[in-house]
Amino acid sequence: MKASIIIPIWNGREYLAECLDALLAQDYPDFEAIAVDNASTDGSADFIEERYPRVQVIRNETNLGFAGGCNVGLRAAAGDILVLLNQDTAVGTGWLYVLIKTLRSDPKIGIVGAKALYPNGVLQHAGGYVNLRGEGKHFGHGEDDLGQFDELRDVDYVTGASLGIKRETYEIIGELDDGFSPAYYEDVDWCFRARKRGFRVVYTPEARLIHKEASVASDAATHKGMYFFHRNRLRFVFKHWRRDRLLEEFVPAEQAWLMNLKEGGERLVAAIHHACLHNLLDLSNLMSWRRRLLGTSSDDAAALVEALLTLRTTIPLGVIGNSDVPKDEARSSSMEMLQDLHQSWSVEEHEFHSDVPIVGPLIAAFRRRWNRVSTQWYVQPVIRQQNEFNAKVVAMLARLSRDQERSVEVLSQYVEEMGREITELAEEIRRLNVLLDTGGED
Amino acid sequence: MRVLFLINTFPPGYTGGAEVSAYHTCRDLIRAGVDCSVLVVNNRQSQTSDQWYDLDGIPVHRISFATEKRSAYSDVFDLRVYRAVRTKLSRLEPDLVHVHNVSGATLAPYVACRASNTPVVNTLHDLWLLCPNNMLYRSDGSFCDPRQRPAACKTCFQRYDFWGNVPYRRTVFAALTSNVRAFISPSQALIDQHVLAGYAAERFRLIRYGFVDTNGRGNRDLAFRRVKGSPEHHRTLVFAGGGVEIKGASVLLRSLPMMLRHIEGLRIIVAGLGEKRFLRRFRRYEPTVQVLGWVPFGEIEALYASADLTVVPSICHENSPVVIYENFRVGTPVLGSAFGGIPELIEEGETGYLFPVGNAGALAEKAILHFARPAHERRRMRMRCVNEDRERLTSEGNIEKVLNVYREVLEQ
Repeated sequence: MKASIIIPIWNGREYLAECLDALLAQDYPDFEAIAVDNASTDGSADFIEERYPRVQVIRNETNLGFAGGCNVGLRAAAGDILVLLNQDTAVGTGWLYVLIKTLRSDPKIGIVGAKALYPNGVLQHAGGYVNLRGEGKHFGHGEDDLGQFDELRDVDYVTGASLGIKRETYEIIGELDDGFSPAYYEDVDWCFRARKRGFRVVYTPEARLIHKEASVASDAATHKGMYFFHRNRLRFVFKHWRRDRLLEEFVPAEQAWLMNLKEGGERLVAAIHHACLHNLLDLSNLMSWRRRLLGTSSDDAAALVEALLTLRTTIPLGVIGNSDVPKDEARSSSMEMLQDLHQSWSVEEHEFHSDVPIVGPLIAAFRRRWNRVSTQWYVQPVIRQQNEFNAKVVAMLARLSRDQERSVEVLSQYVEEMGREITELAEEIRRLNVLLDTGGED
Repeated sequence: MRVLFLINTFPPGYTGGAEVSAYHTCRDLIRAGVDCSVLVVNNRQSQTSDQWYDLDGIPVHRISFATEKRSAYSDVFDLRVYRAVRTKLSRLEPDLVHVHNVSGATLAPYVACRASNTPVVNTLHDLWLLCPNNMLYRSDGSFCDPRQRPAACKTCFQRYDFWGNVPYRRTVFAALTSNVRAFISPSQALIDQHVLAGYAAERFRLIRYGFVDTNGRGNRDLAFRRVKGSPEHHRTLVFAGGGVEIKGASVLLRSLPMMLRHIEGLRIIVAGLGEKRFLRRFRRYEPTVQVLGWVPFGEIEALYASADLTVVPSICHENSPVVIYENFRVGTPVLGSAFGGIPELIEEGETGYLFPVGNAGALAEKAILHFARPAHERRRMRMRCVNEDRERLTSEGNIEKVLNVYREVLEQ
C-alpha cells in the first residue's frame, strides 16, 4: 500500500534537514514525499531540490496557507494513504508504518494521528477534543509523557502536524477547507467532517514525532495570530454547530467568556470582533457548508447573522473599566486637578482668633469653648457628613479619570481595528466590483 | 467526553461545600481533558431568570424559576425544570450527566435524563434522597432515625405532610433515581445511610473530595484585614458556620465561657451568615469573638490559614465537610464532632480532635488541650495536616477516580 507524505513548506529552511532526514529514514519503503512550497523567500524549495532528489517539490506562486498548500499536494499525490506532515517536525522510527497499520486495522478508521512531543520531551498532543466554545484542546498538553496516553483511542480530532487519511475517506469528505487559510482549525474541521460521514478518528501512541510548533509560537500573541485563530474558531463553530446549539449555547457561553475578560483583553476582543466581521462577509460560503454538513435551509442565514452581530457588539466592561493607571505615568492636567482636590477635600473647623489687645486671648478662649459646645451637636456632624461626601466624590472622580484614560487606550485599539476592517471592506467591494464587471463569471 | 454538570447552586454566588467541591471537580476535569459545562437550575428563587457566566473557563448556564409558595409537590417535581433540562440535553448532547446537589431543582433532572436516555452519575452531598430536610435532623434539635420512627417527618416540618411520610417519599425518590448508574460519595457514612435505607451497595463509589490551589481567587489580604488584632498576640480559633444551628453554633456558644476562662489570649472568629439570635449571642463576647459575616469565596482559605485551630461542631449528619479539606490544605488542625463523615477525615491528636456530638464541655476541653500542647507539637500537627492533604486528598487521585467511574458507566 503506497503512502504519500505531503509537507507544506513556508520559509522553513532551518527545519527541513531534520524533518526530511527523519522522514527518509522510515522503515516503510513504499512512499512518495511531496513538498509544497508556499512561495518561500528563504530558498527552501531550492534547498530540497538540491539535497533531497527523492522529494518531489511543487512550487506555488503565492502563499496558499496550510490548507491551500496541502490541497495542492493532495491533488498531486498517488498514494492510497495520504499523510500530512509539518515542516518543523522530526518523525520517530516506524512512524509511517504505525500510521498505515492503524488505518488498515479497521475499515471504519478514516483518520489517524500521532503522539506529538516538544523537543524537550514534554507532551504536546495526544489527540484532542473540542469544547462548546469551539476551542480545540490537546490531550496531555504540557504533561510529562509517563505512559498516560499510551492507548489507541477515538478522539474528536488529531493535529494536522501529522495526520494520516485513507484515500477513500479523502474522496468522500473532500479537500481541506481553504477558508481556514492561512492556518488553524483546518485539521479539526477535516476530522469533524470525517466523523460526520461515519469514519473513526483515532490517535495512536506508537507513532511519535517531535513538533517544534515554531510557526504557531511566533505569531500567537500578535493581532494577526489572534485574529486568524479566532476567525477560524468561529468559522469552525459556525460550520458545525446546529442552529439551537449555536444560538442557545455557543453564543451565550462566548458572550459570558468575553464579558469575563479582564484588563489586557482588549486586543483579544478586537481580534474577535474582526473575526466576526470576516465571517459575516463570508456568510454565503458558510451557508453552503452548513447546507452540506447539517442540511440546513437558507433561513439559517438570519440566525448566523444575528449570532455574529451579537458577538461583534459584545464589549467586556472589565476590559474598559476597573483598571489602575501606572503610577509613574506623567499626570495629565485633570490628574493634577484631582490631586489638588484630594488635598483640599477635607472640611475643617477653624480656630477662633482675636486681635483685640489684652482681652483678645480671653475672648478667643471663650469663643473657642462656646463654639465647641454650640457646634458639637450640629455643625460637627454636618462637617463629618460633608467630608464623607467629599471623599466619595474625589474617589469617584479619580476612578472616572482612570477609566477615561483606559477608554482612550481601548478606543485607540478600536480605531486601529476599524482601519483594518475598512481595508478588508474595501477589498470586498473591489472583489464585488470585479464580479459585477465580469458578470459573475468568476 | 462531554459531561454536563447539574446542580442547584454554583460559585461564585454561593459557596457551600457541595458547590465548592463541584466547582473543583469540574475545573479539574477540564484540565484532565473532559469537555465540561454546568447547568445551574433552581426552582426556589424569588424571580425567574436565565443567565450565563464564565468561571475560570467553565461555561455556566444558570436558570432560575420563581416559586410563589413552596409545597410538597414543588419540592419533588417541577415541570419547568424538567423542560429546561431536556432542552439543554437535546442541544448539548452530553455523553453523560453528572448530577450534584439538586434538592433545589427537584427530581425533574433525573427524569429528564431518563427521558433523554443520558447516563447519570450522581455525587451525593447530603441525605436529600432520604430526608426532606437533607440532614436527618429535626427542628427540635434531635437526630432522626427513620427506621425507628417512620413518620417522623410529620413532626419535623409540617410542609412535608404527605411527601414527608418517609417510607413513601423514599420509595418515590428511589424509583425516580433508579437511572443513576453510579453514586459517588465522599464519605462512607453517607453510603451507609443510603444502604441502610435500601439502596444497593454496589451502586456507590467512595471518592473523597480533592482540591488543588484556590488561592488565585479573591483577595487574600482582605480576609486578614477583616480580622482585628495581630495573629502573634492571639490564639485564633475559627468557626465558619456563622449562626447556623446545624453547623453547631449553639454548641460553640455553650463552650465559650469555659474556653475563655482557660485559654489565654483567645480570639474567636466567626465567619458566615445565619440566624440572628446566634450571631447576637456571639457579639456579646466582642472583641474576643469577632463576627465577620459572609466571607467571599477565595478569601475564606486565607482566614483558615491565619487560624491555630478551626472548629467544626456540626450537629447534623455532615457528609465530608469541605471546611476540613480547606483547613488541612493550609495546615490548620480541625476540632470536629464525632458524627457523620467527620471522623473519617480527622485523626485524633494528629490532624485534629474529635468530641461527642453536641457536647460543649468536651469541645472546650479539646480546645484547651490543644492550646496547652507545646508549640512544637502544634507545629507538627500543622505539618501532618498538610501531608494529609497532599497524600490522601489530592485532586489528581480524585479526578482519576471520577474518570474511572465515567468510563465504567459509559461502558455499561
